[in-house]
Amino acid sequence: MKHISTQQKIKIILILLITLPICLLAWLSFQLQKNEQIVQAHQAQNLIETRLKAVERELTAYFEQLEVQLRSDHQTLAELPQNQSTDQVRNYLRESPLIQNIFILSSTGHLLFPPNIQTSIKEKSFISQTKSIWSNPELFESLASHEETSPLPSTIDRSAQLEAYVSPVSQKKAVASFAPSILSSGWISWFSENHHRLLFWVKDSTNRVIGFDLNRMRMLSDLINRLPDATQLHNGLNQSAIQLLDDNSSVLYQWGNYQVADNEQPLGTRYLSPPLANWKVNYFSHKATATISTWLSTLAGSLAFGLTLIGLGIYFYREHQREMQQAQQRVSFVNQVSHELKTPLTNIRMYAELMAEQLYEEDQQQKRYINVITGESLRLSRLIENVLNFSRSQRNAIKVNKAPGIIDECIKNTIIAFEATLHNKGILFDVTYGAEKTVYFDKSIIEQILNNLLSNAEKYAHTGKKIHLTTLLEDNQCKITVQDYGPGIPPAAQKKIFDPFYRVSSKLTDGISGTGIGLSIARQLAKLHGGNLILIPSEVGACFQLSINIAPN
Amino acid sequence: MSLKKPFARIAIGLISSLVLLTQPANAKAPPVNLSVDLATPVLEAEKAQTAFVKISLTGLQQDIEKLQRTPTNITIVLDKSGSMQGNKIRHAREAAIMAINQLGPQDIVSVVTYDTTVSVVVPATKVINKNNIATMIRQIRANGSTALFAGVSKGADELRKYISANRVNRVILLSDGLANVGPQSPSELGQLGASLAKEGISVTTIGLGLGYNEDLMTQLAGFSDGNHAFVENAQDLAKIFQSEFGDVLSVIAQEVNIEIRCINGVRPLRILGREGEVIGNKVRTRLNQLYSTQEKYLILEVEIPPSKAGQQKDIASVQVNYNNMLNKKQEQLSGLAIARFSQSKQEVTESINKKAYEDSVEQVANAASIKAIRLRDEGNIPAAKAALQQSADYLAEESKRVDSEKLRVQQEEVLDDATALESEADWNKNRKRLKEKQYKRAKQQSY
Repeated sequence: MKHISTQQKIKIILILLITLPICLLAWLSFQLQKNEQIVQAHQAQNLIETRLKAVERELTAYFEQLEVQLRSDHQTLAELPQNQSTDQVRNYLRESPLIQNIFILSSTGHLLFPPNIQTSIKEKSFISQTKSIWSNPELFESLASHEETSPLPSTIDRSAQLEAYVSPVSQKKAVASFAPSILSSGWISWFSENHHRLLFWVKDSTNRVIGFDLNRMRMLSDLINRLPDATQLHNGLNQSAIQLLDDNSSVLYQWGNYQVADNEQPLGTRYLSPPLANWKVNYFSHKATATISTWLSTLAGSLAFGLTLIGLGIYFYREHQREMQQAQQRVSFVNQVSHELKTPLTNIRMYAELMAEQLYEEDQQQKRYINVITGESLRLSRLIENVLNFSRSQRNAIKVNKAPGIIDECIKNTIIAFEATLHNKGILFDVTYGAEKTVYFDKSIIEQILNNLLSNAEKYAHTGKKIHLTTLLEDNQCKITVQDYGPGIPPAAQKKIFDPFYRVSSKLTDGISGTGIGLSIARQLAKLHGGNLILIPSEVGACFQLSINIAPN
Repeated sequence: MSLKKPFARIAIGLISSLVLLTQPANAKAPPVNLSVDLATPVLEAEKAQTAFVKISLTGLQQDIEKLQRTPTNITIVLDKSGSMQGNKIRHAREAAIMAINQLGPQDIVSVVTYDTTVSVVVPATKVINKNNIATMIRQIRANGSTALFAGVSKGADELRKYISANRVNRVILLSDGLANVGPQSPSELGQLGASLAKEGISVTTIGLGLGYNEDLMTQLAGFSDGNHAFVENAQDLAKIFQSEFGDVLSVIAQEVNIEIRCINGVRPLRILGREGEVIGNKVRTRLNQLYSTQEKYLILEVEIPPSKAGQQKDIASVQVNYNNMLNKKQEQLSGLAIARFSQSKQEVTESINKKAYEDSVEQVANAASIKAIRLRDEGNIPAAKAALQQSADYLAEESKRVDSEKLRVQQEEVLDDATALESEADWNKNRKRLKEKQYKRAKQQSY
């Protein structure tokens, strides 16, 4: 239905009043949340970085200590007299859990250890495996010269699958005082038996190079032992896990309470520095641990706000409902009273009319009185009809009952009812009939509208002394124009005269009683009848045009 | 050494081998007895040949009650991966608790478990409050993957907190599955074992059920000179733990270094059953410990150049250094293997040292069995069977030669093993059984 009742309007407004702030709030909190999330993600990332850095520091520290250890071992081995050297080196290897093999190169690049003769199978295979290293003295030269300039790993001799790095300790000047005779040292990662192996070399001032071949598994075991185990919860890894991965990306060690799923993407990754090049540590955790709680608090906040708004809305709606009900009660009271008035009024009119018929010609005085009674009771019944119609229209209870008839006839009857009163006021009717055909219309509606228009003219335009009525048939429309020659309607009020309970306030209307619903009812009725009632501009007075649909249903 | 040689020569007039104590100053008899024997003390003359030298170390019975038992430092490393759920973990917990009950306040124990991650359940602690330790062990629940390498690493790290040459330092590893986090190949775990052995730590590996990798477990135990056992049913765990702790508590010597020097042009060929380092004419090997009343030996195969009949030659001199756990002192033993050369084949046969000969044959056959498993792994069942058959023939021949019941039993075993090779369905179990048997034979494990 096109027509929206006030009730519905109020509902819609209330709903808008509630939903708009909620939407706004939701949007704002969403934005806030998004920002919060970005901040938190940033913080989380920082935290992850810090943790992974700490892991890396721990692992780097291992190699630094190891280098210090190996450099001092180098001192011990280098100081051995030549004739004992071989046996002592072998003893060293038997005792050292971390070093599997050693080679010693003289300043001229000859192998001093392992010796040419009387070597064990292990030593022989070590020599052949590392030939590409010890037969390549540049490996130890170039790094020494690069030491100051490039702290980054420099890759040498890819074809032999060798990678050489400057040792972290070598970069630190402090070491120089600890082992003054050492020129340089570094790491070489080499490939043998499907594994990367690590070799630490030290070169001293006599250009002698000692290479230490690390037991890869022991090194890994030591690294693992530097890292926490699962029971150490105080390190804040309750809901996360860190994995140490080697250069083949296979997991070597994992700690922390979080269960890592297969193929789960880490939240943070840090590649380790040489000599553990291409190793990495991965950080895993629940993705939204931190954000869920804040989401919850925001959600709770907006929920509380929304509930308050809805509560307020319901309160106002109820209040309004109550008022509406009271108004309704008043209207229905008036309605009932009107109904109650209608019956006695009809009787009064009927008997007054009967009496008028039975009066003799000479009883002029009485006849005048009776006419007044009839006129006034007619006026009263129009008024009651208006009130009843108004309440009916409020309930959408008016029905249009079209019946065949002639509009001009109907108009003649209405005018007759008014003629007496108008005549008393000296107003004349000037009617131009143009609707003599039989058409379909609701007689009572047309009468009601005309009654309203004519009683208005009677009340406000009696100074014009004349009312001009025109009827006209046009296709399916019948147009009836009522023109008075009174003072007219002020332009400012022209738009409002069809609103219910509006009365033009002027000197003219002062002192004249009225309900202010006449025109409103008239227009509603016209619209119900498929037409309209409009005020058309005229030079003098007011001119109303009623148009109605006269097609059969 | 040179001072002792003349004395030795006189003393061996009738016997073919000699035991020498180089520390007569020590009032108490050393707890270890060294004997160096040639399986064939009389050799054929004018002929280059190979011979077996048996170097045997026997822990002598000690009055443990009277003497102070060697304090221990033990880490029990338990697999608590998902496969251990149920009975297995329950028995493992109970076995560990029961074993720890054998320890006293001078001992140190720690318990480490591993699944995907590693947990130090009981940090290295003196065994004073056994109930506390038991409560902590009872809380172990199985679940997750198998980070065996990290478990052993952390276990060894717990040992290091109290590591001492005066304690028996041992990791006891129980696993029922394949390592799947971290290093997982037998050679990698072997490397770790070798490194731990250098610190005096032995790793005993107990394989539970049919899911573990027996190569990994034997290599880890082998390189660190620990024990190895295959336990098919979890209820047998308690027994094994008992035996293992019995071994640990009876250690009388540690860090046993054996150096063999072949003399007079004799060349070492191979060591049977144990790892060793051969440099020129020198052979070195090491045992982490010796137990009281147990014999540990190694068989060295040597090549001997031809000699004239009637000659007598030193074959190899042996020097053994060890840590006497009873008096906490470094002690040394030495011995000498001497051969006589004769034209008479009968004399050669008659003079055979039966015990040394049996042990040598046993180890040769054992090496053949190890080779047979390798052939079977390569999928070559006929070759594996042929190798075992050959080994059985060899055992039959040699058992006849020295009339040895022990070798006859071994021959039957080898024939049984040959059938065990065939069954595809039972191979997993049989392989574990064979590996365990070979390991025990090679290392003379007591249980």
